[in-house]
Amino acid sequence: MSQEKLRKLHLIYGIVLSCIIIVTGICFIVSCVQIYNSGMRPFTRESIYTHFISIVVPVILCIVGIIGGMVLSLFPLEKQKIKGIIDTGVILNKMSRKIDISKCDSDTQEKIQKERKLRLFTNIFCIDALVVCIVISLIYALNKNNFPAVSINSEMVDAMLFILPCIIVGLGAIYATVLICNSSYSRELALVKKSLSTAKRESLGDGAQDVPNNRGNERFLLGARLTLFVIAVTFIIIGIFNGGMADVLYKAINICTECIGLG
Amino acid sequence: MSINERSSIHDEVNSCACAIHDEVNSSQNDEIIDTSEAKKEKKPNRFVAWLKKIKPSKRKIVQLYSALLFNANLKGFSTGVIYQGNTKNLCAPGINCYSCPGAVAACPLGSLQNALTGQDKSTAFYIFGILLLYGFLAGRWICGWLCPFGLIQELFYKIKTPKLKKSKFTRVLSYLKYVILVLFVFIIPLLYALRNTPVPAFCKYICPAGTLEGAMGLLSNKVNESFLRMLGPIFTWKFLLMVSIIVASVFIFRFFCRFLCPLGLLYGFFNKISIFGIKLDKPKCIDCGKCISKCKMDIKHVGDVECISCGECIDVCPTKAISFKGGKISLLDNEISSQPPAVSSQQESEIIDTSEGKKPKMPVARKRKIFKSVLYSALAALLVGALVYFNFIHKNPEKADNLVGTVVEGMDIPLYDENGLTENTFNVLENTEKITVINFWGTWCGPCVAELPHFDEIASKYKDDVTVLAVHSNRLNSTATDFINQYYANSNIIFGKDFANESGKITDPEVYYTLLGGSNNTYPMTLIVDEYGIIRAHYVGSVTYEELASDIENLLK
Repeated sequence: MSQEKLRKLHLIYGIVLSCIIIVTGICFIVSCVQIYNSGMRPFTRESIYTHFISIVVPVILCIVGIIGGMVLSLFPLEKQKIKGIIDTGVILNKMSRKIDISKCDSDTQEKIQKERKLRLFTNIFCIDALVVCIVISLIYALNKNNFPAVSINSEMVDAMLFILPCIIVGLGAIYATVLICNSSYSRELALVKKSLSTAKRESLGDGAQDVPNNRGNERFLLGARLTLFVIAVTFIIIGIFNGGMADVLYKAINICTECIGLG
Repeated sequence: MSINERSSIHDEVNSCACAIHDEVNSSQNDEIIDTSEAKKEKKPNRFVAWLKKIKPSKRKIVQLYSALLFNANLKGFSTGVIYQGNTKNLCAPGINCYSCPGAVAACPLGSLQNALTGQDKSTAFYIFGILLLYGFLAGRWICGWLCPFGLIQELFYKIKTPKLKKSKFTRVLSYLKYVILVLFVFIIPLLYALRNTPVPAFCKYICPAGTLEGAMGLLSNKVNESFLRMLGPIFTWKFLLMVSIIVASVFIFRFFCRFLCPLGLLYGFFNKISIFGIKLDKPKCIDCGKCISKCKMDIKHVGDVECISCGECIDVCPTKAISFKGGKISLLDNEISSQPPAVSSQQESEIIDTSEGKKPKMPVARKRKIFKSVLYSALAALLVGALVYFNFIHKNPEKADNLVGTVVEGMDIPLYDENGLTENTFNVLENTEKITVINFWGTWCGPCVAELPHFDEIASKYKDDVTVLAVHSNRLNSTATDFINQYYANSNIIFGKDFANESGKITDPEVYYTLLGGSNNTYPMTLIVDEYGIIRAHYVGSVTYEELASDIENLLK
């Protein structure tokens, strides 16, 4: 079978299997919600089986599909060449060190400055948005009165309803910043490359990298490791004597039913 | 920008970066090309190629080994009883629920939350020390090589479906675990600790390992039929979350580790200074980005917070700038790649240098081989020893039969007063003129503490007909005394202490909890004993006020 046909077969098989897996997952979730809403209390093994028996077909299909996938892997696809993901920001920083922007023509300089300003403003906006989200979340989360320990589950739901929008906004702000900055980096990189192509190779210097101070780094690393090791061992010894270790044992050999989600 | 434009920019940038870094050894690249061409010439049999492909990598073998070692109590899966021995003093490095029937070590994240929610303010030292030690030793290398839940996710990812690759979006989503770490592991447990209510929020509301290994592991066994009574909204939520995470793991590499796991994040902070892990030789790096492209995690550069040190990038690095840290100790070096480990010039000179007057040194390769054999034998012996000990030598206390309808065991339970444990005792069999409600609880147990007000209400409302005895599980007396003095100083509940000693041997069969039908050390547990000393009800898990009141009303009729 040609590679192209094989690739198609793999793709179609994968899509079908994905659908089966997703449907099986949804079936599990729906059955679970049905069991919960059925109002039967207490639950028995038999009553749970009767609900889950209805999803036995997708489960079997799923298992067969997985086994089929193993058989299909007997006919592997040729590996595709790995294309590197270039961090434009890193490359740009390195290139900026090698070339003198002031030697570029004024139009290019202006455009580069514009891109840098855009990134600066975007980053400031992102940091502001994050600070606002964090402050709002912390004001709620650190208020003892929001967690009176009367009905813990509903208190958690309330907390999530309040904090979740902040999380979404915060992540959204980061995502927007990443997108804007990346496209800005790409644009600036194109400008820099353009001016590079006109400049002579010599202007880049000899290409030697800044050699990091290895000895200093190693000394710092050794010091940090030693410090951490000493702190860790001291903490463990204190913990053994102050009952911390016994606490770990007590918790581990007892089952706190709520802690593992049994309810 | 179109895809073509972008790819052309990438190509140009790539070539530009290569040009800037002249030190890249071109001959090295030629060699790589040569070998790949040589490989192309040899086309192995398809079946042999398939066998080679499915052959587990070294990392998979280590993952399976550690999963088996941390869950060596295999008999627990058939008996449905968790291991209750002393090795649970120690924490497994990865996420592995301690309520899993197979688990022989504690979960570090569960223990951390327990320490933060506990009543003893100083007890967090031990678990912080353990986390620091693991972080300092291995960082997120633990996630890639030792974590059992990571292995489970990787096995799901092996299912042959189209995969969702990493992108800027997934990279942003990976910040979610910072929120989870701060909110669910630290703030919420600490806030509830101020209310003297232990709420390990991450374990209780999120941890899929707890649901899969702990809850499902226990529920799947018929012995734990009584647990089904407890299932409610929390289990439903956690089951939905677990199914969603498992389905997501089929399409997204290590979904939980990348976006939700706070333990991985904690270890990630140590990645730069850990002894084991991945290191990048910066002067050799040409910023080709192949390592980032190959990596399935959301790394920005090799060895950052997201890097789980799986070592897959080592193979693709054209300049061999990436290698394992602590290679001499771990014997890994760059061996994850199919190529034999390179012998450095120094090592070569050691092998060749047998000049006059000096004793010929043992070749490095031979030394390495001997050390490897010794290490592998020791590890194999450790696993076999663990399996034999936990499954054949160590005995958990036997589970008592259902005691409802039988006469209650009498035992002198020492009682608490405001100064601590006293010499006064209470014996249920000697106080049968009233109905007795016996509740087994612990200050470390969230639901136990949460349901105590119900017992207090019962004790007040039926004080002429009912005695409520709350037997505290075996923990530090001072903790219980402080708690009782603070919240139940004027309560009608009689507070007593279970029998076991303070040294941690709480699995003795003479413990009152075990005598009254407690199994698997499941807390809370409540029994209702009538005026004739006969056990009329036995609840495992939380009990509501309505359930208690209804049982008592029925007995009073």
